[in-house]
Amino acid sequence: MQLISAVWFSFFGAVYEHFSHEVYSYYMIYAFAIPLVMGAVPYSIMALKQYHPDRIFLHLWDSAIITFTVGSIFRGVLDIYGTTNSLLIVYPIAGLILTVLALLKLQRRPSTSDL
Amino acid sequence: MKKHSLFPIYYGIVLTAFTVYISLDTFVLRDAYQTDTVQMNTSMFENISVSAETTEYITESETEPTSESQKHSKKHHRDENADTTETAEEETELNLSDVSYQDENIQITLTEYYENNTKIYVADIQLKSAEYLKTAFAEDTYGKNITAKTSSIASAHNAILAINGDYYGTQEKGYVIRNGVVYRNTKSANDVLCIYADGTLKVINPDEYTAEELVSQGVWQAFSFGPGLVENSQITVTQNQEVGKAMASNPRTAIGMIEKNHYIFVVSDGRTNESEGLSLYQLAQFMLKLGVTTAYNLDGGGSSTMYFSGQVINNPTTTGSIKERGVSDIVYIG
Repeated sequence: MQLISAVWFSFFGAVYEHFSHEVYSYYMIYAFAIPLVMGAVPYSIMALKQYHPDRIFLHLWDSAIITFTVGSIFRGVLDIYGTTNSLLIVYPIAGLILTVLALLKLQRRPSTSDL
Repeated sequence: MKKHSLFPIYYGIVLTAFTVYISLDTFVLRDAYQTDTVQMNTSMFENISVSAETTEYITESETEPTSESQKHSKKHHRDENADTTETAEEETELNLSDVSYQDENIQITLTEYYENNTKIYVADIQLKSAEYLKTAFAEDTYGKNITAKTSSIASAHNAILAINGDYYGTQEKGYVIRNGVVYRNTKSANDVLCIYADGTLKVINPDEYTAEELVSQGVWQAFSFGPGLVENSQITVTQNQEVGKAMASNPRTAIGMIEKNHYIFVVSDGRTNESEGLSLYQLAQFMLKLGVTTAYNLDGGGSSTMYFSGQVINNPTTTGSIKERGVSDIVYIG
C-alpha cells in the first residue's frame, strides 16, 4: 500500500512540476520519499523478519505518514504559487505527535500476536 | 468493527477538512486588514525642495533613451498613430502619444526591446518629485486575497503608467510601506526596496531598520520581494540565482534608478513562443545597460504587467494564455 502511495505521489509531483512554468519545489518533488522511507521500506523489513506490529501502531504510523506527505505536497503547492501560510506548521507537528505515539505504542507492546 | 479501527477514517476526515480549510485560507478567503488606503503621508516631502536642476532636466531631456549602450539594442517604438484616451488628452493637454507623456512634473518615454529572445518593455521616467511615484492596493484595501488587475487598479487611480508591485498579499511577512504609510512592519528574509522622498532608491537588509524607522528616514515606498539586481552600478545577483523556487526564464517586472527622480520600469514577456523570458541575471544585465545605479526585482511570472496611457502594453500570461491576472498592488506614476 505504501509503495503504491509512493508511486502515486511521485507521479503527482512530476505532473504538477511539469505544469508549473519551471518553478520547482523540493517538497513537491520528494514528497513520494515519505511513504517510501517511512512506509514501504520498514514494512518490507518487518515482513521479511515476520514481525507484525499491532493494529494501533499501524494506524498511528500510517496517519503520521499521510500527514507528513500531505503537508509536503501542500508546502510544494504554496512554494510553486509563491505564497506562504503559517498554518502549514500544523502538518509536521501533527505528524511528529503521531510518530511519537506510534513509537511509544511499539515500545510498550512489541509482541507480534495482536493481528 | 473494533473501535480503534475507525481511527483512520476519523483522522482522514480531520486531515482532509484541515487541508481544505488551509487551501481556502491561502487562496480564497478574503481578509481586509485595512480599508480606505488612499491616505498619503506626504509630510516627508515638506523639507525637500525640488531642485531647479531636476526641473530643467525634465524640460530639456530628449525622448530617446539616455544610455549609450541602448543604441546597440534592437528596439522599436509602438505605433505612434494609435489613438490616445480622450480623458488623458483633456487632462494634460500636453505631449501625450502612445510612446511618451510629458507635463510639467512628469516625463515618460516607452521603448520596446527584443533581447535574449524576449520582448522587453522599458519606461524611462523623469519626475519633478518622487511624490509622483505612487502605489495603490487592489480595491484600495490592504488585506489578504484581495486582488484586481493591474490595469483596473491603474485606471481607478488615473495612472499614466503602472506596473504590478510586489504582490504583498501572498506573503505573511515583509515590510509594506506605501505612500509613506506603514501597513506591515514584520520583516522577512527578502531584500527591501526603499524609494525615498528625495528621489533616491536603495536596497536594504530589513535587519538594519524597522519599518517605522524607515519612514522616519524619509522612505516613501518599500517593497519586499527582490532580490536587488543592481547596487552601486554593480550586478548583485549570480548567474544561477532565482526568486524562491523559480528557475531560469520567466516574465519579469523590475524597477531601477538612473539618478534622483529618474527611474526605469522594466517588464518582460515570457512563457510564450515569441518570448522566452529572462533570468534574473539577464534582467540585471539589461538594466545595467540602461544605465541604472540601483535596480530591484518585483513580482514576475503571471503578474508581470505594464499599463500605459489606458492600455496594457505587454503580454501577461496566465495559465498558459495571454491574459492579465489579479495582483495585490501596483506602482504607478500619476
